[in-house]
Amino acid sequence: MIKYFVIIFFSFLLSRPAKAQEPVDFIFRIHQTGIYFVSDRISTIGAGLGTGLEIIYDKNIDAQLDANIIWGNGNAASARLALGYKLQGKWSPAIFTTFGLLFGQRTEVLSDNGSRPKNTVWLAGLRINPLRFERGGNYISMLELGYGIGPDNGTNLEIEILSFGISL
Amino acid sequence: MTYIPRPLINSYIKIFFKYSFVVILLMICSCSPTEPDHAGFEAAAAVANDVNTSALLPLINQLALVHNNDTPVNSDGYDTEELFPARNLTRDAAFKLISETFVSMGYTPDTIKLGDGPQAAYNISAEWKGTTHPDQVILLASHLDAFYQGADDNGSAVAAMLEIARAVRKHKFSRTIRFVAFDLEEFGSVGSTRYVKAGYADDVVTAIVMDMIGYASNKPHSQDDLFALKLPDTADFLLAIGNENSSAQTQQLLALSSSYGLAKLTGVLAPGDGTYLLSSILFMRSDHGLLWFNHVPTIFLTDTANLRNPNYHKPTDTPETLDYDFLKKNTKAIAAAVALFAGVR
Repeated sequence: MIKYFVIIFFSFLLSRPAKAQEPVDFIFRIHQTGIYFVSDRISTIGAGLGTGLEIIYDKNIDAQLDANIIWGNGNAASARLALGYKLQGKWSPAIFTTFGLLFGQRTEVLSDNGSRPKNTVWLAGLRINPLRFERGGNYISMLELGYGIGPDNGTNLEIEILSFGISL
Repeated sequence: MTYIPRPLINSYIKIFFKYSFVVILLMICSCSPTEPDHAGFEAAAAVANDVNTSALLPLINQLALVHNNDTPVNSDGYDTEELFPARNLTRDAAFKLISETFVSMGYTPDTIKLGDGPQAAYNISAEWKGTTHPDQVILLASHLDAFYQGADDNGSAVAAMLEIARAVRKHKFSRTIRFVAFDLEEFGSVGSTRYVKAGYADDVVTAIVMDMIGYASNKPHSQDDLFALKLPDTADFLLAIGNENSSAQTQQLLALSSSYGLAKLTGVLAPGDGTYLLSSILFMRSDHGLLWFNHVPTIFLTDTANLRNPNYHKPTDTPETLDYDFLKKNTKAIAAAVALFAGVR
């Protein structure tokens, strides 16, 4: 598995660049995701896959919208909107502010009167993509790390071990 | 890079922001929490008043005494570990005491032998028949086997079960209430697993399984967390764990208890049927396991065992370490819940 990944990674870096980037680039994004959200009322933990659309404006401004499916402690899903800034070049790290929604199965803590927590949980936070490598508008990114907050003293940790972006 | 005409770019941007708007709208309009049904609470809470809490301490003392003087169960095939003293599990004398107590109350308990050999399980079952729906059963269960004296694990729950069995005889219920003392829980929920597999739980519409309900502490930081689940910092609550199948019942138990000030409960719902990888590691530690697997709506009640009780599975699990005020309140809340689910008339 690691062998194939190394081959893909170096093939990506050594590949011929595509045409010069447009002022607005559209990228199809696919990634693995892991989430650990724990608050006073709910716990959602698991790993899964996600996909979405990414728009890069003027080579640096990056906006992403993606959806994720998460397994581990039931079946959950998340939707995220991320706005950020990325550097130009082959090594193009990025930083994002993220806003998300989390829904689906989770461990719930009931209130004293027995009521259940809300079905959908909001999330807000930051994500850094320190190992993002770009080539002609396509990119590969490793170890994307997110930290955020949610309702009821919620803490959200996210990790994406591997992400791909394919220029449209 | 592919050339994209400007109008198409504009339409993509519009779509992107439209979907973003939908996401934000979903966030704002996320569904309201569901509230439990309060029907029948008043009559159910009245049953709690018939629980004689002064009977609990003598019952636990008797159980601890008989466990302490009993011959251990054959533990071949089980390795002894620090929190699993396999060679110190007893059950026979407790079985006899529980059976005799049921008889003294006017019940005719059944012995349900499941399996063969030295590790055959001997469950005890006693019923208070329902009047209009006797074929629908409310199960109240605890395990009778114990390491050492087993005052909290599980004398506390057995005593509560027996006292509730005595209290409900003053009332009539639509459904049948079945009291079961499971055998060999400590060897991996053997008695309850065989009970469910043999079909004895097929008529159960709601179950409450109790395992360790008598230890509490008012000291700060006395309660440890479960992995990835925030519990209150002070170990002065009874944990009620349900799953999606028993969510309504778990909600009702909490609402009933808080409405009438019966006991301090913390309610947790495991996702789905509770058998997902992570939640099963956290929550399926007792006799409710196979009931959950078989989709029987079941609430599991516990003081969280070794997450608060330093005497867990040790010779120091003795009657004087329990909090009897805590146990009394818990017993009343459980009696009320049984009455509610059984349809007190």
